[in-house]
Amino acid sequence: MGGPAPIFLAAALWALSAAFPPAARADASPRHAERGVSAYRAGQYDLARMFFAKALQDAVLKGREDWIAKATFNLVDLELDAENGIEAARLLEGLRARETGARAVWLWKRSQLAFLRRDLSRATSLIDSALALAGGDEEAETSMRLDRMRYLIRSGSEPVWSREYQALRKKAGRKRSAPLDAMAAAARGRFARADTLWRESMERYREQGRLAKVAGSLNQSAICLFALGRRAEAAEANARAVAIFAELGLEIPGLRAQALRLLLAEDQGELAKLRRDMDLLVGRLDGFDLQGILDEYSHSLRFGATGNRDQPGGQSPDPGSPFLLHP
Amino acid sequence: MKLELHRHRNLLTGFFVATALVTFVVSLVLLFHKKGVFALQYNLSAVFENGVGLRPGADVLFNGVKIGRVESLNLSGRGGGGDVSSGKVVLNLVIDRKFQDFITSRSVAFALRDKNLVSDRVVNIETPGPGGEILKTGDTLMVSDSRDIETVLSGLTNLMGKMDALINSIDGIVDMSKDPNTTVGAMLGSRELYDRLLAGVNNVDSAVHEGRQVLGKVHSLSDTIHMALGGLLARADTTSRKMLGTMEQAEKLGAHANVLAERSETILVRMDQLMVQGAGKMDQAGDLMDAVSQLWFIRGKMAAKGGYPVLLNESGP
Repeated sequence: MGGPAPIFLAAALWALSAAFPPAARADASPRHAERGVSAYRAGQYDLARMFFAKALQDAVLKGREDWIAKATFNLVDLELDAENGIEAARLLEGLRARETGARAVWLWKRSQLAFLRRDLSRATSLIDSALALAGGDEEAETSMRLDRMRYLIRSGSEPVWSREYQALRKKAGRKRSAPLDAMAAAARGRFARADTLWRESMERYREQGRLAKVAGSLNQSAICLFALGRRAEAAEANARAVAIFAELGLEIPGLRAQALRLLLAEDQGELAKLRRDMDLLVGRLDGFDLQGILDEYSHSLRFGATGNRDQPGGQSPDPGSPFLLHP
Repeated sequence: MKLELHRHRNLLTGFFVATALVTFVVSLVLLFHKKGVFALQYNLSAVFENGVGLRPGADVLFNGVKIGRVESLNLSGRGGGGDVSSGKVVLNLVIDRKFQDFITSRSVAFALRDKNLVSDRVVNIETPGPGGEILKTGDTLMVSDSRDIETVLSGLTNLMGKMDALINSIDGIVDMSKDPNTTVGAMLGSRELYDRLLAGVNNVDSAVHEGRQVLGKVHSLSDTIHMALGGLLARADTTSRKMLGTMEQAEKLGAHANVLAERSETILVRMDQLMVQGAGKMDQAGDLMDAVSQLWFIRGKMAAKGGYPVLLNESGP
């Protein structure tokens, strides 16, 4: 009896064992990371996330701790751009950075996460710890110092950060410090200057391929224009920023920008519709703090409401939205 | 003479009365028997999608122990497209009453081959945990998917159909993006096109993952197949030497095994091709990104080749 049956079945069994996935190719993690960075620069955040995740997966499979840290930092940067604090925190909590340089970056990213969550004192203490460890890498250290200054500008009064700011911007150079200058100008109530600087920052971010920050700068420009009483221009800039976020697929930053419409809209019907839409979205997105965002806008506009130095013709904008708790 | 006639009449009446009584009792017993009052067995039914390999007389097992048999098979409904249950196979099962307490409304019946790869199917019943009402005569058992090689292979075939469609859809998109001067630019500018590509790539990724899980199942079955095969062939050899009829049967069994083996082989080869294709699409998406990185507005922003590129972004607005 015999026949071909056993041969076929043996072949089938062999094929079964052979059909399982082959071993990962060498250096797959850096290759995926390169692709992820390309996708990120092209504004394809979902694709970038996929490649970075594959890079991390490969690094873990190969047990390369340095790659694991770098792949994780890429993913964290992506999630911070997407303002997905929960995912960024999860990634950072899962990383064990033993090497000093990696630990400094880990603390730096945690400070950025605290800044995203508006916990400014924690952000400042974390970045101070990161700076204490970041010896040798001048580029990274300058970036950390620029971030530290951002936290100080957001949290403190001008005398606290003014001197340190001057020293830092000399060191960083005019081009690199443009976003920081814009932030400082807005904090000082110089909205016209801040508007110009935010537009310069857009160019800077576009060159870096950080398209989410281009949209973010545009929205900051809208705030400045609103503070200057140029409501129509502000609405246009804000609408462009919202459209860019939508094109990038960044939902939370897009909603944050869209929240500014609640202050910009004059028509009561439009305002009511916006409010209904926002309420729906806020209910869907866990952890989206609409009130906190409106408070932040309100804080940025405070100088505008009290008569700022840059305001042409003494025209006061009206940030008197019913949603502003602390106008 | 008169007395004798009277005695005869009494005897005749007694005979008729006795006969009527016996007939009545026998009819009553037959009726009760027919109603199942004295029966040591009871009936259940189960509705299967497919009755291939199931025959009247097939064993019904509970956790592998024989508790009854399949009495008959019928098709449900009257055909036509209206009734969703139409064309399903209704199995009437006869179960020993002493096992009645084991079979509850939580019990699940499924078909399997208890002896080897090519033996007839049997119906096995399992009861997952306590609770549920004990099923009575005429009740219907829940069924689940068969647990044998045909069902797994059929699952594989369906899966590959899905993967084929997915890969074809990606092929279309990747073809569109081969020209870096036109379509890649369009892709970068069009969220919709990009989303389609990404969804396709993700679907292939998950389909490949799913395929691996199915292969895992097949792999777990392979031990059973391997063990069963030796016994089957030994049996076929012995019987073929003994008599011609059994030889014919063994040939049929061998042919059955052949068909299954060929089908397995074809499916596995196709599966392997599809897995390679799926992985190829992921690589193509990667190559696409490599091409994108050469575009003018991205070139120069990339980290130097050879190192490990890290973003390390500052905070911003």
